[in-house]
Amino acid sequence: MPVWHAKTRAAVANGELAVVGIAQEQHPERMALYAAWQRLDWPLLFDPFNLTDAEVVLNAYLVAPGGVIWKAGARPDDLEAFLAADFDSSAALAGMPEPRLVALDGEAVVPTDAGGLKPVAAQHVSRALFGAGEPRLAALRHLAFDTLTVDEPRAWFRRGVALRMLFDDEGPRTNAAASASLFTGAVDAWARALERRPSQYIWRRRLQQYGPALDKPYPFYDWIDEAQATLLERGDAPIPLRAALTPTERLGRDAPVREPGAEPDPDARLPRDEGWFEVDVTVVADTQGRPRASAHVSITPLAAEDAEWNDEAGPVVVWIEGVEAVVPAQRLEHRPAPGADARERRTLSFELDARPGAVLSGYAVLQVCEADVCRTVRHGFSFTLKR
Amino acid sequence: MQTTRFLSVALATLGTMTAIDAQWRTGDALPALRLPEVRSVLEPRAAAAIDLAQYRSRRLVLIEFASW
Repeated sequence: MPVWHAKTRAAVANGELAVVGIAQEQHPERMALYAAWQRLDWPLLFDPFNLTDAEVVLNAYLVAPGGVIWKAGARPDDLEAFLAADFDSSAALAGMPEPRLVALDGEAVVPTDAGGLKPVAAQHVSRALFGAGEPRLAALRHLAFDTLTVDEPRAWFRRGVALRMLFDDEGPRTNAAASASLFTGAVDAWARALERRPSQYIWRRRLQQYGPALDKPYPFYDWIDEAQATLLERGDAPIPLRAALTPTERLGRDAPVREPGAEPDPDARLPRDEGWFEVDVTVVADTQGRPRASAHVSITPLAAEDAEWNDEAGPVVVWIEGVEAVVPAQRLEHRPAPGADARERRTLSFELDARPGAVLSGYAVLQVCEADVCRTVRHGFSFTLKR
Repeated sequence: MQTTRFLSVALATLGTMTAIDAQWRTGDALPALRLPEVRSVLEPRAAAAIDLAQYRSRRLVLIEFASW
C-alpha cells in the first residue's frame, strides 16, 4: 500500500487522479488508524461483509474517465501508462456490463402476505452498515440469528461478521445471556463459510486473525502500537480501538514461547464468582486442519450486577488445565492499561494442541468490586474441542 | 519494514487474482456499489455513504486492501 500511495500522491494533488480504497476487514477503527498513520487521505469504503466478493487483497483497478475499468489486477508500474493514455471521456457506459456484486436478494427471502417473496438480507446488511443505535443492532441480530433460508457460503460469512459486530458493540453493555458465545458463533459461521468456499482468502484471513500462530502467514496487527505512537509524536488525534486486540492478533509464526508460571489457586481456596463475571471460551482451529488451535478466554464484568474490575488488587490471571501443550503458558495474565474502563471485556489468549474431544478447562482469578465491596474470586470454565 | 511486509503481502496475493479478475474485469463498468466511509463509521451518528458510481467521470485508482 505505501507504494501505491507514493506513486499516486502527485497526480492526486494536481487533480489528475482520484484514489479510493475499499477496506476488507472487520474493524473500521483499525483501518482508520492505519490510514492516519500512513497519511492516506483518500476516501476509504468499509466492506466488512465482503460485498464486493473479493477473494484476496490487494486488488487494484484503474478506471478510465467514463467509468470503464481500464485494467483489473493493476500494479503500481501500470500507473504511468494509465496517466499518459488518452481517453474519450464522453465514452458512454451503455453496453458495458457491471460486475456482478453479491446477489443478496437471492439468498434470503421471506414469504409476504401476498404470497410473494421479500428480500431481507440486503435490507439488513444496509441497516447494519449505515444505521446507528437500535435499528443497527436489530439488523445485526437478524443477520446473526435468523434462520438461513439457503446454505449459502456468503450468508454464513455475513452471519459471522454480524455476530462478531454484536460481540464488539453489544457484549460489554449487556448481561450474560446476550453476549455469551457471540464470538464462538462468529468463528463457527466463518468456518462453515470457508469450508464451502476454501479459496476465499478474505474469509480465511478473518479466522486466521484470531487463529493459532502456525496458521498466520504474517502478523496481522503487530503495527498497531507503532502507529498509535507515531500519531502521538505528531500531535495527531488518537484513534482508540473500540475492539481490543486479542494477543493472537499481534502474533506471527515465530511467536515466542514463555515460561510456565505458578498456579494461582492450587488448593481452590478462593471464593467462587457469584455471578459478577461472564466467562466465554472461543476456540479457533487451524484453517488447514493441522492439530493446533488458539483459544480466547473473554471475561466481562456484568453491568446488571454492578461488577467492576478492581485493578489495584492485581492482574487478571487465567490458569489452563486439561490440554497438554499450551503456548505461551499454562498461566496467563492480563494487566490493563492505566485508566482502563472498569467494565471492559478482557480477553486472554493461548494456543493448544487441539486433540478432538479433549476438554479444555481451567479457571480465572478475578479482582472485582461491587457496591464498594472488593474481593478476589475464582471462576471456572470448560470447553470441549470439536471432534 | 512495513513497506516490505505490505509489498510481500501484495506480491503473494497477486498470484491468486484469477478469481477476482473474473468478477471485476477489464472492460466492466465501475459498479454502483454504495458503502459507508470508514472514518464515518466511527462516529455515533449514521455513517456517510459513498457510491462508487460517482467516480465514473474521473481517472480513478480503486484499491481493495486491508490494514493487516
